[in-house]
Amino acid sequence: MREKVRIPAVEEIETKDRKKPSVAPQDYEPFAADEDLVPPMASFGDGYRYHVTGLFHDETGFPHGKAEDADRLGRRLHQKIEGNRDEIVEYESWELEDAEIAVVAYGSVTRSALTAVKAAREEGIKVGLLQLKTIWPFAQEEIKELVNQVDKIIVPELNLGQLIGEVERLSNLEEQVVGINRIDGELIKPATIIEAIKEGSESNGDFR
Amino acid sequence: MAGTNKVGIEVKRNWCKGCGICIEFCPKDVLGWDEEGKVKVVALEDCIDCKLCELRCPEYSIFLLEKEGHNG
Amino acid sequence: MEILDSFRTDKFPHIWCSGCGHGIVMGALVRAMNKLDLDHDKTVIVSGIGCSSRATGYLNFDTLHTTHGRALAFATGIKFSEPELDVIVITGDGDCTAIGGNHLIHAARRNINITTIMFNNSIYGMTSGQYSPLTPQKAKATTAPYGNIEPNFDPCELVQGAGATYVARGTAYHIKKLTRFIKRGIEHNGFSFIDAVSQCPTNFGRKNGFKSAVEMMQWQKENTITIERAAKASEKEVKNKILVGELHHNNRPEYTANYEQVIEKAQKGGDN
Repeated sequence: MREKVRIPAVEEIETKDRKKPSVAPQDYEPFAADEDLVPPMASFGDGYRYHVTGLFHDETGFPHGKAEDADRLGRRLHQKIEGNRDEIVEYESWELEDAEIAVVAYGSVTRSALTAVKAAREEGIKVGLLQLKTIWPFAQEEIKELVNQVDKIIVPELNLGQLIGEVERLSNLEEQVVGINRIDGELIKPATIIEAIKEGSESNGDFR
Repeated sequence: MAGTNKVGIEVKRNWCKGCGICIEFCPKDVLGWDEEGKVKVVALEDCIDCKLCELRCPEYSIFLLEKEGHNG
Repeated sequence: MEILDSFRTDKFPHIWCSGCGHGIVMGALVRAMNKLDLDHDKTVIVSGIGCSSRATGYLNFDTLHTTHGRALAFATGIKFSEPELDVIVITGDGDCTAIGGNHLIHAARRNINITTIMFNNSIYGMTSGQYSPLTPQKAKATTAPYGNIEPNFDPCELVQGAGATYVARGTAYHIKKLTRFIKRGIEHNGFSFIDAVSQCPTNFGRKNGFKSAVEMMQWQKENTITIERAAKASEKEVKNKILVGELHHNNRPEYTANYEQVIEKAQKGGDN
């Protein structure tokens, strides 16, 4: 079980510079955000002499122990993520266009899921795979689409069911979402996922 | 022996928390307590400019003045 | 009053209790930096979590108040990316030797050019006096009401063993020495560690029979011995005394310099 990692050449890597402040050091508020909710950030050594703390702070960067500062900061940081979900959410999909069954996987279990989907496709079963690469923000829109498209969604997980809760939340059909769970230290094998796919495919009528 | 401080000692009373470190470790008993439990200068004439009060003050609230208009 | 230029005085008075030694140690750091005429725009001060680590909020430099125990990890990142910056770490005894114990020994082993000043009050003061790895055996703490059963580290021996190249100990009482050791630590090219013995009258002193900060500093005076005097003193005189002085000083290759060499080599496309 070895795979290659390809490290891109320097010229293939895009560098994005941080926004730097344009004001004089005495006017600099290091945590006053622009409209995009991102504050311009001076580098240490640039002469701005500012303070960074893990304590809740106001726009100046200093903690004052005020609930409203904490609330404002927490909401900005939250909105910075939620407001940019399209840029942050990452996923890959295989064979979902005409799928009637979908597997939703996150992490290493995707390897088994992909093998299973390919094998089932060879047998003519219309099954596809959605691999989530981010968990928050959640790929809500993509899962909603899937819920409306397919009859059955299989969620294989190496735990007793975490991701499945997020998928179930978006499904209106009872028993549409099925988990495969394993916690004995062994991996979920493609055969187990194929089995679950076939169960769905054979009982197609039950879901329509 | 008479002291050497010719200019004075400045106390920033609003920062002083009255710990007494400057008072107790002053080798010439130049400093004492005021009525609010903060430091006050009681015998400037005995000050020998050793600066130990200034160096040990945890609050940076006591300074030896060196000469007019120029604070060390 | 020159030292006030190095502080964010609008944040004063600071949060430390009356008589806390941390203000004395922070003053020693500022005086040491002033003696070296460090460029205020090119000096970064990094701290962890705890009473000591609140110092960064008061120092008028680029300052970074990080997570518990991780000051040295952040400082390593800063020094690595901008080796020309002077990087100084302020940490407490718990932050440095418990939560951050691994960062400490590996920073020392790498000999990275960072000066670490450990504000050592032998207790977790901010959280009301739990014992730390530097609380003396038998001393009382919130979590050791019958006396601490754990032997404490000697932090100076610890970092020297791990590879630090400048190691010194001063106290809030021995203020001039402490200032000198911090100055030399900053000047030193390599990992410097200064154990700054401080006092916590509120959460150590009261539980251990000290009536005031003054008594605790008197204790520092009476229970320490300089290495110069210890060298000439009898075994009995030295016994149970805390050594004050420059305990260790040597030179060996510095981490970021070694890294520069590797970058150069790699960029030339040479064999690895």
